[in-house]
Amino acid sequence: MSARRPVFEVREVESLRAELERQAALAAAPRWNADPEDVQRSVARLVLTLVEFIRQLLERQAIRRMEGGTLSPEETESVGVALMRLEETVRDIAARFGLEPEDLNLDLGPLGRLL
Amino acid sequence: MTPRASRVYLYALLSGPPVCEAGVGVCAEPLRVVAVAGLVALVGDVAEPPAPTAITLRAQDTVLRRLSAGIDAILPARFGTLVENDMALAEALDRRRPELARALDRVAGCEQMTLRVWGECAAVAPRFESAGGGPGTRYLAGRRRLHERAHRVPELGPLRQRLGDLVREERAERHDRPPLLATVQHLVERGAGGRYVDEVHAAREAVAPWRVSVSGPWLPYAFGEGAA
Repeated sequence: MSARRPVFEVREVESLRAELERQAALAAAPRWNADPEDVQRSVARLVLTLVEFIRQLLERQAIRRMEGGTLSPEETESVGVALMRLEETVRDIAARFGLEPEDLNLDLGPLGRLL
Repeated sequence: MTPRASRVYLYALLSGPPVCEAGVGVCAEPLRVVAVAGLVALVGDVAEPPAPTAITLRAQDTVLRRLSAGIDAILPARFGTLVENDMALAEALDRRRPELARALDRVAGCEQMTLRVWGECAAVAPRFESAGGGPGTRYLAGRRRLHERAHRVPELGPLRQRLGDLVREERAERHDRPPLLATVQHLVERGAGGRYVDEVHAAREAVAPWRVSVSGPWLPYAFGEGAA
């Protein structure tokens, strides 16, 4: 049976470990809990997470409509520009509060992560 | 300090009661099999969920594997899933009963095999027609390509031909962090794992320059969206 055992290179094991650690960190997205010492940042994180959630919903809907041909070229351009600027704005504001894109998430308990 | 009252820790949904004693769970708590919302749930009563470590993850897998013997379908819950009591569990499951029942049907009589795709660079993505238009149109087209690519693993093309009917369903996730390029989960019929591994090994040269490693069989962890 030893021939069946997977053989890995060290780099592959390290790469897999890094990916698992990254995913574990994402899975452990904290529940929102305002820190009295840093209320502004906590509120910003919550608000930006919700905005990002809505932005992603709108983006998926826009892509579905684009694929379905129910958006005119002008509408596609207009929606695309709006979503692009919204993404830039969310990132800019997040950066001002020292938040990374991965920070914009919430743990919803048994339902999993918001994003 | 008052000890915390016990809560209900969900291990899995089952297609029916286990054929063996439920035994004990990861925290050495006695396990219970409860029928709720038309589903069969395997639960334990614990004050706190176990910490997610390699040891507790393996322990939970061992519990589930033991109880899955003789059961047609098992849908593992997300590790650490905890609810206040049986009533809260029933409410949570009742809301999602149709999708959970479908997920149980999907994994019935099946096990999961896992492939990792390794390489220094990803396969060249198929060319899409230029989106044209202005920056907004190009932005949306780019996002669309990103969504599509997130679940495509063209590196496995030659292997997929060999696996053919062995695979009932697939879940793919790209990582694109060399050397780890992608993870692909396949749902295969129970007992077909040996043939599956043979096919993967036989396709080694065909998938070059990428390398594929295989592990399993596992319980269908990647196919239990409903129970997560």
